[in-house]
Amino acid sequence: MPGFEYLLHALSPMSLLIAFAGVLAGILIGAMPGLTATMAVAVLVPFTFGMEPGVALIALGAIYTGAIYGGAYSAILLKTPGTPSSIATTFDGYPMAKRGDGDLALTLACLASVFGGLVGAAFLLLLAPPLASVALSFGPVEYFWLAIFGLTLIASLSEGSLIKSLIGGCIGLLLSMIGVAEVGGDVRFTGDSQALLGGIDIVSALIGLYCVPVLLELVASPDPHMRLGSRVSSYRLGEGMRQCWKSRFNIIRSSVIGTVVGILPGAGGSIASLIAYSEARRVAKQPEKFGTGEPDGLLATESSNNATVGGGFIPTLVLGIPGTPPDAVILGALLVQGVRVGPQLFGEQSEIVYTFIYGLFIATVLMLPVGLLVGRYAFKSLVGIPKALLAPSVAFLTILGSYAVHNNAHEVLQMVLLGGFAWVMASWGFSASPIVLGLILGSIAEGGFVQGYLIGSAKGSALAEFFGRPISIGIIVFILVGLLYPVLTRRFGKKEMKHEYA
Amino acid sequence: MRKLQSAIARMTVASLCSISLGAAAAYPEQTINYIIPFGPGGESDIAARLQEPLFKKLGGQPVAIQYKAGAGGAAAWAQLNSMTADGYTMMGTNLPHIVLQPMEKDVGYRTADMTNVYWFHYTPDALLVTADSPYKTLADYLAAARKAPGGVIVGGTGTNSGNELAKARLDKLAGIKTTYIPFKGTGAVNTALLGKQVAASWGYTTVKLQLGDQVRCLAVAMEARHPRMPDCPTFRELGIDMVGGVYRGLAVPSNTPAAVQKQVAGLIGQINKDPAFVEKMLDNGFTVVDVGPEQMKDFMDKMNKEYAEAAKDLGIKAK
Amino acid sequence: MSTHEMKVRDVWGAVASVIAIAIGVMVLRAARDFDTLGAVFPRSVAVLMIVLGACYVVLALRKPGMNAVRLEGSGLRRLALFCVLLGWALLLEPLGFLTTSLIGYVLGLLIANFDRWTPRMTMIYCGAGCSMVVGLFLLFRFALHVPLPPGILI
Repeated sequence: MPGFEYLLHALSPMSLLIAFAGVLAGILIGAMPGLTATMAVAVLVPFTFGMEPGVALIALGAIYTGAIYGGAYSAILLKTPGTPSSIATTFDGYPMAKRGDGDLALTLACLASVFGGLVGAAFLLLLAPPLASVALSFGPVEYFWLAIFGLTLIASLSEGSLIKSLIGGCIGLLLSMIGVAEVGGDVRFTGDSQALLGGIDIVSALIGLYCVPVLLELVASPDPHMRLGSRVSSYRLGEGMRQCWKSRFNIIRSSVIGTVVGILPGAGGSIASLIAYSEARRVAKQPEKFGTGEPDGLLATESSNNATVGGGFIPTLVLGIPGTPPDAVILGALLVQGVRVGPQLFGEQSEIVYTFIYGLFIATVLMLPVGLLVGRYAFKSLVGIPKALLAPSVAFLTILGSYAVHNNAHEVLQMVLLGGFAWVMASWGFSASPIVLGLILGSIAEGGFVQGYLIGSAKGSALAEFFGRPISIGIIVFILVGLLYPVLTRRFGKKEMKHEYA
Repeated sequence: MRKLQSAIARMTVASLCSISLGAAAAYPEQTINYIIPFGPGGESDIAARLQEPLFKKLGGQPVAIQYKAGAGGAAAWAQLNSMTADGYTMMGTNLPHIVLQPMEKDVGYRTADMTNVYWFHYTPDALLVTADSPYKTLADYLAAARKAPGGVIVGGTGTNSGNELAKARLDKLAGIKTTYIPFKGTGAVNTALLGKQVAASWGYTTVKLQLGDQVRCLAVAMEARHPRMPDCPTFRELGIDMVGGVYRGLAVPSNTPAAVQKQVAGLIGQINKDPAFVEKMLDNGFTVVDVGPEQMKDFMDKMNKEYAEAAKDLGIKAK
Repeated sequence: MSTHEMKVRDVWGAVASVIAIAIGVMVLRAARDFDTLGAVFPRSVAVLMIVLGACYVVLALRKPGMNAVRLEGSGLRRLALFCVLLGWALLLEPLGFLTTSLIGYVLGLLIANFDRWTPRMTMIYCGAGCSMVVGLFLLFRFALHVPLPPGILI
């Protein structure tokens, strides 16, 4: 194992303490809707300036991985992704919590996140330089197809009418186009409002689209907001472990998907977890159970999004290209520390790199006890809190969270309006997830398409650019396979149509 | 009587002065919000992170760095003047962005709306290729572009940005035609360059130093070679009269009192004189410049004129 | 699908589809002002949405019982909470973050509570709520340096 002597360095009491504090802070920040991993890292960077570079990196890596995991809490308990990476966690996590398996869901999320985090870190340790080339093999065209691949998930996600889901996806795509266009600089659909120039912010939109309808349903009736399992006081750790063992292939596959997607700059945890989810669903024996509280769905999303942490560090450290937005903040912090990233980092300054990678392992392992404890506390307090207190508390968090994204009051308003819109849509039978997918993937798809078209035209043929590159062809094959699956299952068994409100 | 009045007036002025002097001594008294109008990891962010410890050291107060990305900076700039104007809110500002963006379209602010208090650094344009690129020199690049007009694909960040302007200027000066692909942020361009999606990219001295040996700098738009990259020739050495780049500075909401603006500028100027800071900036490819409130008007007039001329190369028709 | 819903046509779904078609048409009109490349995506999505909307209208009117959704519970409370959220968002800057949030929280309490108010409960609920709001306000304002709007009050 390379740089093993630095493991001891990473195990020093100071590093351990920093890793512990970082993971805890990250989990708490990530669990708050509106506070993303990027923000967690950005806020805490100044505190690391006094530390030596290796330890500072451990602190930032711990915060980052903790925040990505923390997003699962609110996704499972409130149907509101704490960070964009946990969007897909709501699909099965929330139904599990609704039916009384919230404690199990939190334990599963913790186990999957730790495993995914370890896989990502292992790839970072062992294969970083060769894997960095993956980041470079994806051009605009590949990003376009990757986004389209993500969009096809709409078809398999659709509860109820497929057409309604597709219309929702189109609405999301149109929402993603609001603001100044990336290419050409057209000002689109802003209605002359300055507030919309920068486009719809994904984080505040997520809070609105997911959380506000839940809130409105919460106050509609006096029924208890969450059913209790029979064993409230247990972690259900044994049950969780058995489930993980049963789903070991799913977890491993999802962790690898997460690592690879994490390596791609411009993709990130939200896309990784969506792809892992759709793959888990595709190979599942009973895909129709996905979306109704299937543990496999949760395991796929949580293991993949934490694997993006290690994956994202690969291009960041090897190439100096940040794999994800939090990596960009960390890269800036490194430059201030005087650490020059790049291929030479693994040679000349290997002490820092290996101390950091082992620190990331330790932080990820620490996530297990910390996560289980915090998760249990969160679950118990959420179940125990009277509904009359829960609703205004969640309402306050949505306001605070959507304000803190960019410190803008207009994004709070945008959150509330999108929330009302999502509620009306839901009452007409349109679910929020297709809209969210369109919103997230729209700008990636459009950017990739336009850049690919320009490059292809300059080379002589746009068609060859889109359909002639090997990786593109590979993704197209996956898209076709993914699209044919639901058609076939539809043939062979009518899906039960179900509409559930929050 | 008149004497008395003028005496009172003088006293009032004097006491006001002493109050404002007292205030000057006390700035900053609380955390300063430092808003970056882009995402993290870009030049504005890194420069701000390098300044950050010095705000604490020289001003005694920390800064809170926040990111408000969107519309190539315009989303944040359009909101600047509605923010609290007490000297504790300041925002990164970029040239040529704040001149070129409002020129063509209504992006929510005009160049004159920006109250720039200090331009504190400058990053010269640099034309980069990968280390194993067939273009060994600028001459190779120009020859390839002449051979296949429009066939050489170059990347850069954003539309009507400093990068696109540099591309347009070289195209005009050298009489070539290249295809420009706008990307979202420095990270995306660098990925495209290293991944050979584009044949070359327009960046700054910072990008070359960040990517190190993975890329070769064909030429840099400076008057003399950059001390940290002595192998990279200037455009002028190669017979092309091109000097330019992006200036970055800080702006405050327009209602900020002039005295407070001076204090803000004073603090930034002080940071700019810290030898270790200057050295670190240089190591990362930034060149520290000092355009404070006294020189601001002349400087902006000069720049506005220069960019108005350059905008024609970009095909921007002023509204 | 329960039996009593079988005969219900999804009228609202059809209405939404008609609105979607209208939005599509508006997008197509707006796209005329964009650059060629800036218009490609809006146009394709708009056309797709119009086609899908038209399909759904036809389906919903021909086949009864498709995906009709019914609401349960108090519509009034939902509307009230939505209005509170809306007011919360609008008054954040003019009134100040802390004041607006305290008012919003108490109104939220009133809407969400189905039990009878007893003095003890009122005190506990208001105490717990206010301490949470104030605590998070202090955390964000002073520890995380989020410039929460001060407004005319706090």
